[in-house]
Order: sequence, then C-alpha cells, then structure tokens
Amino acid sequence: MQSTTDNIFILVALGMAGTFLLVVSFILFSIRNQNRLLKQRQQFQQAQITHQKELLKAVIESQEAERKRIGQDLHDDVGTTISGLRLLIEMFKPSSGDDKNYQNFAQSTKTIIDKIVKDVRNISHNLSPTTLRYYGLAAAVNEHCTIINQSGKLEITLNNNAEKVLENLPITTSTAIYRVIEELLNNTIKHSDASKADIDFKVDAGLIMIAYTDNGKGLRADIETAKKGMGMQNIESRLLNINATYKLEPYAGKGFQIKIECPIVYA
Amino acid sequence: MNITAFSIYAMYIVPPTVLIPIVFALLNFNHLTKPLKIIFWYLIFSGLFNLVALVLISMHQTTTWTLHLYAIIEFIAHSLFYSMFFSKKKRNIFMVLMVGFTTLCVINYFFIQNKIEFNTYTRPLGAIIIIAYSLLFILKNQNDEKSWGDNIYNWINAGILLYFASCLFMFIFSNYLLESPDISRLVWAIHDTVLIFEYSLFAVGFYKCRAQQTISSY
Repeated sequence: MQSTTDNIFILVALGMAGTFLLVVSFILFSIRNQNRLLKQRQQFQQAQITHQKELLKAVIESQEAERKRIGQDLHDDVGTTISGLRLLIEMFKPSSGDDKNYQNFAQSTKTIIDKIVKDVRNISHNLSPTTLRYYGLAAAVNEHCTIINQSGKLEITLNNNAEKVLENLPITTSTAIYRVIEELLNNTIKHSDASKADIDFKVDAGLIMIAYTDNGKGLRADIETAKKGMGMQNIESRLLNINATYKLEPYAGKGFQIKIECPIVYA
Repeated sequence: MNITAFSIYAMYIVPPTVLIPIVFALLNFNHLTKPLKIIFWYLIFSGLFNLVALVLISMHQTTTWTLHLYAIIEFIAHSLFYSMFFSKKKRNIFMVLMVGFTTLCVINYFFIQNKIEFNTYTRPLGAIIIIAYSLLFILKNQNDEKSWGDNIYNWINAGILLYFASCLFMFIFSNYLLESPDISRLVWAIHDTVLIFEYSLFAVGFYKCRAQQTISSY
C-alpha cells in the first residue's frame, strides 16, 4: 500500500474547523427551531385568548340584549297594564258613593299599585338603563348615584373630569363601565358597612382612569382571593371585554379601593 | 503569524480569558444555581491548572502527564453538571460513568499511555460522552416553554458542545502533533480560539442567571 503524504496538522486543523462550523450550524438551527416552535405556541395561545374574548363578548352582548328586552317588556306591558288597572279602580263607582270600606280599599289598592309601578320601573331601569342609551355614561352613573343617595343607604360623591370622553364612548364600553360601577356600589351597600363612596373619572395618557373608593371594611381576604369572588369575576370579565385593566389597591383599614384603566374608544 | 506569536497567544492571551466567566459568576454569585456553581468551580480549577502548566513550561518541564488528571476532573465536573437535569434515578448512570471513566484513566496512565504521552484514548472517550450528555440535554429541552436565549443552561450547553465537538479531532491526534511541536502550535491556537468561544458563552450564561433565578427549579 502506498504511504500517504498528507500533512496530519492540516487534516486535524480542517477537521476541527469543519466540526466547529457543523456544531455552530447545529446550535443555530436548534435555536431557530425552538424559537419558531415557541412563536407558534404563543400564536396558538393568543388565538385561543382571542376566541375566548369573542365568546365572552357574545355572552355579554346577548345578556345585555336579553336584559333590554325584559326591561322593555316590563316597562311597556306590565307597567301599562298596571297603570290601566289603577285607572279602572279609580273610575269604578260603587252604588253607594260614600262607602267607607270601598274608599279604604281603593286607597290601599292604589298605594300598592303605585309601589308595583315604581318597582317595575326600577327593575326595568336596572335591566336596561335608558339614560345610558340616550344621555351617555356620565348621566346614567349620575342618575344611579342620585337614586342611591336619595335612598339614604350611601352618600356617593361623583367627580367627573372626563365629560367629553364619556359622552362619546360606544355603547358596549359605556354599558360595561356602568355595570362595573353598579356592581361596585352594590358590593359597598351589601357588604362593606360604608357610609361614603367616591367615584372619580379622569383622562390620562389616552386612558379613562376610574378610581372607586369607599370607607367601609375593605377586603377581608387578600387581593388574589378577593379576585376569585363571583362579583369580582363579573367585573373582570366585563373589563376584559373592553380591554380595560384594574388594580385592587391594598387599602386595609381604610375601606375598599379599585383603580380601572380603560382605553378610549370613540363610537 | 510566526511561532512566537502563536506562543504568546496560547500562553499569555488565552489563559486569562477564563477570568471573563469567573468575573461574571462572582458578580452574580448569590444567584448561581447548583449546576452553575459546578461550572464555576470547574472554571476555577481550570484556571489554576493552566497556571500550573505555564509554570511547568517556564521551568522546561513536560506537562502532558497533568492532562491525565485534568481529564478526570473535567469529566466529573461535566457529568455532575448534566446529572442535575435528570431524575435521581438516572443520576446513578452518571455516577457509574464517572467511576468507570476515572478507573479507565488511572489504568491508562499507569499501564497504557506513559507520562510523556497525551491521553489520546481516554480524553476523546470523555469528550464523546460529554457530547452525548450535551445532545441529551438538547433533546430534553427542545420543548422548552421559553425562548432559547432565556434559558441560561442553553448557553452553557452550547459552549460545552462547541468545545468538545470541535476539539475532538485534536484530542484524538494529540500524540501525532507532538512529533512537530512548532507546527502543532497552529492546531493549539485553533483549540484556544474555540476555548475563548466556550468561555464567552459561559459568561453569557452567568450574566443571565440573575434574571432567571426566580423561575429556575434547579
């Protein structure tokens, strides 16, 4: 066999350089592959989140539509029928006109009917606040606060420094914010033993900033546990649907505080 | 590049580069995880070993025999590092490999390759096993939920794979290279350059460990 004249040093140097390149390429391919897989996984997760958001939006919209229908039916059908019943009682004249028993009956019946009319109106208003649709979020929140203030259950102070923006919000956003405030006020009245609540609207850096505080007991559980409650989950899903974020402030001993940031969207 | 330049590169420029990852490791020492600490102590050993080798060279002593000891420590350090990513049950396999390899090195040193020869049987074997560890690590982490660069161990592993795979040829043919020490310096210069790459990748790993420590489970 003929002996080779190859230079061993060159062969080793070439072998090392070749392997070096091979390993570098392998690592680069591995990086590219792993990052691509990660990107695909992130895109898939993003698509899932978007799908869930769309489902949530559909649920909320159908819920609002149903509330509106029930509210209108209550107001138009039940309200009108009860008003007609009141009129009938008023128009009814017994044979003996000054029957004391009849007058008592007519009076107490009219009182009950008036209460039913008022309740039906309140329920239909809660189900589908017409003020919100016709006069905007600020007016609807103001009206709701006035009703609560008049009831004496709570003293609410409303500071609105975002009038123009609130007027031009699309109905989905304003309904979501209205429902969130409604839920917060409801929680304050039911659970906090608070005497005062403050609602503050302002605009900062392209966001509607809503600060809600009360002087009640505050959150008993830690913030993460509180977020798992039904009421907070409702608030969270409403806010998620309008791409808003919220932060429960640690406000131990001073009451409850939540800060909401909602991107401004024009109708 | 003449022979003196190669010598300066190999003796005075490359050895201090081990300080780059060591400095990064010291800066983040409190955040070092167990596997990173193994690499850190291995680097310290490696730096000291190089220093001893340089002293021996300056005294015109042969250093080839020291590589027999170095191969054992190097293999044990890498085995310990990779064993951290596997279950306790599988770690026994690493233990068996460490004991087996050390025994082989001792037998090779006393009975097969004498003191003035490179350990061209055991070191390439060690390098092949370490390459296998590295590939197993890649296989294990290919479905990682994080970006490649965010996993600090990917940087360390890339350095190890790059070094051992690139220098495998050199480990195998080391004794042939002894025949002409002057020209063999060229091959050693390539080895040293790859070593700088390895140290740089280790330095990135140590630099990033501070950010990752909150999510690391090792």
